[in-house]
Amino acid sequence: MLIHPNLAARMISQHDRVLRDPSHSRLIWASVIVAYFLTLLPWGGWALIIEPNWLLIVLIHWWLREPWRVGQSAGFFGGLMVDIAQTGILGVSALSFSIAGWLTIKFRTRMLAFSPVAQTPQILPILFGTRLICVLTEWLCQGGTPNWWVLIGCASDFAVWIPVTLLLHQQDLRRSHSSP
Amino acid sequence: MSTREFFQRGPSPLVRLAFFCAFSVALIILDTRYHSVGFIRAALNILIYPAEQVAHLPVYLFEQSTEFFSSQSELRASNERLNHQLIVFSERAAQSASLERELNELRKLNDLPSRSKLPSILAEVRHGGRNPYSAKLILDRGSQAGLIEGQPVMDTEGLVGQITHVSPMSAEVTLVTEQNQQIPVRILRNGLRTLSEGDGSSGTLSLPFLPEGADIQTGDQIVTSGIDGTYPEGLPVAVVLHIERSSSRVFARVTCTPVAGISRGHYVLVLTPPKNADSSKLGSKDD
Repeated sequence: MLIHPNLAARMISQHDRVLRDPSHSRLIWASVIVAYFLTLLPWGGWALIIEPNWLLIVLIHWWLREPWRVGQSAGFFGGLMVDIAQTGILGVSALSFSIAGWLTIKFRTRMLAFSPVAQTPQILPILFGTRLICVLTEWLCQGGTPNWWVLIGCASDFAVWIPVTLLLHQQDLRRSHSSP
Repeated sequence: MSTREFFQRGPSPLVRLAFFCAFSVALIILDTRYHSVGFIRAALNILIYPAEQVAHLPVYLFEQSTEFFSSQSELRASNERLNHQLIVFSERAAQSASLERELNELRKLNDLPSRSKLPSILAEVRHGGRNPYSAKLILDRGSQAGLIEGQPVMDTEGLVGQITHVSPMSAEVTLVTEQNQQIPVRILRNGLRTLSEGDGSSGTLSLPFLPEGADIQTGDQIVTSGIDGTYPEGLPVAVVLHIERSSSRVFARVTCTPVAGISRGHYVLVLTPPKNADSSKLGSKDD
């Protein structure tokens, strides 16, 4: 497909402006830090099982909308930090988050054709798959019986995804309107 | 469609995925097989330490305020109970000192080295760990306080577990009920030695290597045998809960319940493994 040189130049300048917009970076960083902070709360017992994957939910939102800013490396390092927070085997969440990142970026064009709420059924397999990878990897490493209960947490991921993505989307729109 | 998709730079997403997956798998292998990523864990733990402290603040404040507003009658009852315990333990301590003296004299007569007291460090349980796959405790003291990996941890009732990861300001305790956590033990009643193994999420232990006809009864106390040099001898570990014998099996199925207050303890004592006692840097200031 050929693009007119003027159109290409305009697209590049728009793209550069978005990349340089500090308020947008602040929103991304703030959402990621808040999500990680929620992971650090002293969850225990059953709350651990039903705790949503806060950081993954926020990362999926940004992978869908800003894959040039929040890339696959964010998934790896985010997963590593979750492993540290959970005092689990180092690399388990990093592996599952990396795969989730790749899947989301691969299908983002298709998903973005839907509204944030209508995207939910397509996000759910990614959230479920991430937990399944963690359960199976832990089982392979530790032996014994796989902790299938962890998969129940998908319901809370599902419940949290809609308000989180709507909130971030709204903040994003407000920022876009307010920026010159 | 963004301009980035027209002018994509760097490796393709699939190559990136392969790289990160390979890196993750390498980390998993290094952590589980070789336990050689402790430095990464310690460095990242330092990084998240301030945020972790802030995240725990509401729970800490709630606990403090609950303690502050505890009624006078509760405090009196607690004080009475502690005074009673003090009298009982003073009497036991006196007996123990006398027995220890006798034992050391007998050991000397038989040309055996006398036993020395093991130094210990008091630590507070910061939280119960956030791992849904395995039960752990996080202590408020780490390598700065002299804690090292492998140290046994006990509370007022008995053995809680063993330190498996140490950061400068915190330490992670793997509980005795954790899967694959093996402890050399003996039955207090008859001195029969065996190994105990954690059952994982059920919160119990089992004695998987006891022969089908072994002399064991429900209610038997299981203590550490001290045979591996990691756990001091005689620490209460568990009580036999259920025995299942079958002629079709070589080993009996013995389920035990841990005696330590694994999920309710607030303070724990970190002991020095007997094999490290001589070279340990630990002081007994908190003993």
